[in-house]
Amino acid sequence: MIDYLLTNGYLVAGQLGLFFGVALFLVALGQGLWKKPELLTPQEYQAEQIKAHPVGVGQFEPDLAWPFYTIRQAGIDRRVVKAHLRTLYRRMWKWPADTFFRGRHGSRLFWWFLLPIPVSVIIFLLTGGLSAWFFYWVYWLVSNACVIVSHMVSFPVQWWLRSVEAQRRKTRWTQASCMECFHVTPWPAYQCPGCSRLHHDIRPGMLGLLTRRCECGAHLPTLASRAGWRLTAVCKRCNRPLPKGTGAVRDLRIPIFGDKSAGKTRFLYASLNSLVLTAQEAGLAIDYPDQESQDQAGLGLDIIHSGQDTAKTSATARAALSFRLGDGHKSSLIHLFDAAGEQYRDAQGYESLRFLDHGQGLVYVLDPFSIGTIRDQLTGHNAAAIRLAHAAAGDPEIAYGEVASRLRDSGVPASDQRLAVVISKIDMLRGTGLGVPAESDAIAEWLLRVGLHNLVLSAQREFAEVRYFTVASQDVTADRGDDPGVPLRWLLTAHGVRLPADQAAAPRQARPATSETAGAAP
Amino acid sequence: MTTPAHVITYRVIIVLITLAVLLMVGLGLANLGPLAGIIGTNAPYKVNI
Repeated sequence: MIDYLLTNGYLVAGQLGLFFGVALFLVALGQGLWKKPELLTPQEYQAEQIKAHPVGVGQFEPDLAWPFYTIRQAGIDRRVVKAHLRTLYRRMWKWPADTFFRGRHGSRLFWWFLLPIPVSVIIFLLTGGLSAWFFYWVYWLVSNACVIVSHMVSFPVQWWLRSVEAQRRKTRWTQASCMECFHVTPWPAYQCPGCSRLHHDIRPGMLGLLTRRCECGAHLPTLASRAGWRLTAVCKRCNRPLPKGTGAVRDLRIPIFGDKSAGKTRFLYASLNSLVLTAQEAGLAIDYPDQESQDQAGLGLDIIHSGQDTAKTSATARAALSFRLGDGHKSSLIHLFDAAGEQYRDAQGYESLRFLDHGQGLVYVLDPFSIGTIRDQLTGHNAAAIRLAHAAAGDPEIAYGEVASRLRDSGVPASDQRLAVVISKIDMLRGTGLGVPAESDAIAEWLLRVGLHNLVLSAQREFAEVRYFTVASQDVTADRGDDPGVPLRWLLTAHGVRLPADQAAAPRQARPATSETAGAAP
Repeated sequence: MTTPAHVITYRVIIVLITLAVLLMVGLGLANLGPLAGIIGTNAPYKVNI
């Protein structure tokens, strides 16, 4: 043994140095990764993001969640392990350097007189250092390779997932809309179930592809189609909670506008009643996502069932009535908006009519008794009918023009919206002996004949599609031609809602225009 | 702050891969003549891979 050491001492020192290098590397690794790790916290990552991309007006700060390991933490770990290895290696050299080169532990000549000892120690340390650094660079290479592979996988997956979500939002109209402040966003904020912190951008990204980890440690799904069911959606503007499934299900907004006393509220309740009946026949569930909508619908349906008059809408009443058609992932959230007629003429009502800007389809309720030609015809022999109908006093073209110009001024591409022009109180008009055709094109021609040229021409120019309907809230004809649910069903089905026994899709039977048809040549 | 699980998982994976690579390199070097002297010369470390 001694002979072996005497003859191969330097080789043994080299071999021992190799194992020492392994130990040195493992100690540095343990210290850097487990004992004294340096963590990039969500706050630090957020600060870095804000510094790189300052938050603009109306934007939100990046969400507080743990970023991907490979984004920044892998680089930090490599740096920390390297620093520990350097410190450890320097410490290993301290005593030999002090002793053999600086003479701090006795005479240098004495140590160099015992030549094999300093040389063996130096060989031991050099071999150990070389091997430790070699191991470190292998670790560096592996870590970098993992980062590259991770990026090569995660970026395409992220792009694909975002594309799928964007396509889903586009085809299924899954925006998030708040019925309190009328703010509409492509996706809502979601509340962390652990710490209630809001995550404003839940899309797949550097904070997670399929799930993300909130600062508090709770896991959140990244896709709105999943988050909508598992987390509480919150309006990004007013922070009020939104219905379950928001961001995941179809969300349709249909404003109903028209002059004061045109029959907007009546139409809303009557069309809802028709839709409820259709849904019941087909076994489709209808429920209300909030208590206010439920109370409002209950009251409105009672009025329709009992045949009572509809009270005038208060300017302070809530404009939106929301309901969910169907259940689960295939359900649709539908919001019908009805504001008091005065608000359309009040400059201060601009903010309260923000729902007009985001409606996929609009319903314009036109009171036939407010048309000058009709009034003139009835004044002579049936003036009582006008009084009974509580006719709107304003010019229907002005009421329409105010909303149309608001949409244009707001930059809303009205050409993307559909418009249903609804001739209300048709049962009462027929009661006077005047008739109105039932088919859309014929109604448009009738409106032209009674003098509403501007309305018909501008509506056809300004909207993607316009259809005309006659509706009665009480005496619906046998062929359901005046069914108030038809305009609503047309707008809903145009945006992908599947309704059984869809009356709108079926061609309506046109009643022959009689000599009593208003506006006909005398 | 407690290290989150996904960071620990990534670290363990990278360290395991590193050790595997080092083992492969070590075994490879063990079979190379010029370096065999440092690692252990003749057998018993010599492994055919």
